Amino acid sequence: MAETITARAMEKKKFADFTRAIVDNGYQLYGPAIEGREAIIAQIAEQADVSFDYRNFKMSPKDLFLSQSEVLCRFCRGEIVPDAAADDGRRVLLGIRPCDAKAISLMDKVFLQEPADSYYKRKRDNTVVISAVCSSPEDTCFCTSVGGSPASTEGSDILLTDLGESYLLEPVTPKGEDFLNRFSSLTRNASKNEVREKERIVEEAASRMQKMDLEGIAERFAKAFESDLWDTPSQRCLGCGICTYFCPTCHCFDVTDETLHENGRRLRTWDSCMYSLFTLHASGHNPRPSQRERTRQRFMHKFSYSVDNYGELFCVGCGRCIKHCPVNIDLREVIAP
Amino acid sequence: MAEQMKLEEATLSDTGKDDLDNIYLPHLMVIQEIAQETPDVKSMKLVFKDEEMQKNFSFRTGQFGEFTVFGVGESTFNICSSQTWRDHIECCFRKVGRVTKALWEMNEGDIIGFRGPYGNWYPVERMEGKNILFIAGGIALPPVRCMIWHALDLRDKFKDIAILYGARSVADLVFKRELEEWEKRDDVTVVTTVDPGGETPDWKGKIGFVPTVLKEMSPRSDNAIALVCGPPVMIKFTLPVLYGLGFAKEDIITSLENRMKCGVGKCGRCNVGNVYVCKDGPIFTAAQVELLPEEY
Repeated sequence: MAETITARAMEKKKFADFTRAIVDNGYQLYGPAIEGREAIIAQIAEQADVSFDYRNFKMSPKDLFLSQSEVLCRFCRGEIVPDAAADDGRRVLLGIRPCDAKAISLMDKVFLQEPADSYYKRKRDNTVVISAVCSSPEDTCFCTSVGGSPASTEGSDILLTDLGESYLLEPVTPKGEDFLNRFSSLTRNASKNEVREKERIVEEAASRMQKMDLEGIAERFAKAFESDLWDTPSQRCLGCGICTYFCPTCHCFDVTDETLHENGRRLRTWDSCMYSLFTLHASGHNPRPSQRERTRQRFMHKFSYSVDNYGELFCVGCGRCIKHCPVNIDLREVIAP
Repeated sequence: MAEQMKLEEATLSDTGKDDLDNIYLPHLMVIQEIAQETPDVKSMKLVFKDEEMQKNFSFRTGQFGEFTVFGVGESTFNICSSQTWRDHIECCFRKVGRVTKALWEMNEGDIIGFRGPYGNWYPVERMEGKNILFIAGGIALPPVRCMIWHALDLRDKFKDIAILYGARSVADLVFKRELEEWEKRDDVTVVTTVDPGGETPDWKGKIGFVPTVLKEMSPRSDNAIALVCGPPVMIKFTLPVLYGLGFAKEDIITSLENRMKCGVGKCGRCNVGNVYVCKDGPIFTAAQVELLPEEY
């Protein structure tokens, strides 16, 4: 198989050399760090011990591509001052799970489609994504139901698997291949056994997740637009928007200005369809007047409109919305056939 | 620090030429002329600060833009002038939100920002050679007015032109001087109306709601296209009258409005079902609107 030819492997004891080499080569390295009891994505110093024995990051990595808040331009006395502080640094994003990597590939469809979003594109172009195969999914995970897998490669440049003694490193894109070639002295050809071991890990992880049959969900939801399907989740919903903040594919944003004396800036900030202000017209008219319409919008956008517009479900099954909802709304109960 | 200062000075007057691929960067426009249309509506003539930009700028009648008051924010307005006018563009707004209140306070000569043109445009080719019926209510005359001027500027390309415009009161009619100008022409039929109670002693137009007056007018639907813009309630009661007159859903055109931020289909808020008003609209036929959920 082609994969066995291109796959590389790295002894675990060499991984610290790898991260050091990455940093020495001028990349900013973002990877796993432990904060309290949660794994988070943090910038990693060259000497850090990196391990991949967390389940998933608390937050998705979307902030690294679509910042929660970012300056679009600055102005002074009615003139535009280009933002000289734009960060063009090359980055390596290490250890995100394949679900989150797939979410990046979905965001690509929105932000790289013409006219491309230069802020997103710059960050995307400058980043090498090394995702880590998921060996221990959480109770809330359902990636296999939405077309993903614990080892899906969409959105990744390199796929890493923790094999116990070594790491398997499979290049996914030419960018990932080039990257691995630069550090070829630290890797060797992977053995057939190593590739087989990865497949076993993936199968076992997948078997731990319940799989829903979501075939035809776009049409099913389109037909259910006026149905009572939305009643239960929307009656409980507080409209806090936490589901959209944790969601790796939610990408809706607001654009606002702020000023101090003569200097101002325009900011792009994450926004949420769960808020009434999101669609409120200046006239007072609101096309989505209650939480029912707003809840429906969130589900329709992810499972129906996105299929119409991009040919993809905009849900990767990471389960964060389920895990963090303060009133225990379980998305799976709404989408299940 | 000195170097930094120099950089800022050098770029201070720049209109963003070095960042052409930045879709969020507004272009600077000078407010050339302001007209107060009603107690809370103004229209503005705008020209690009950069003369080259003005020369090269083109748009299609019916498109919209994002207008910036620097430090306050952006608002979405239809470009209410016609594509046939090349030396400036116009916008018209009601003082109702934060940005429009700030815009209201601005003076001729002041600078605002503009991004656009965005969205689709009126299907002019399909309208040529036909009788055109323009129907507008209140502040929705501007998105119709751009097409009215387009048709009047290229008068030979269109057959009969009729305009029905209504507002709550005489004071709420916008572009009054243009209504008078159109009334004087013999190649346009103009009917203005105000809601009952909104008339003044010397009001010479009709008194009544737009759908009722439309029924009285009873325009012919053969070889005709109707362009309808107004508040949702006006549209709701006008469409059945048009259907009754024999207009096909495909021959009724409207312009939808939803709250927008980016204008290019990314910020995710103006969608009606799977359609983005900013990208797939704002111009739709009644047949298209009928297929959409009522989220506009």
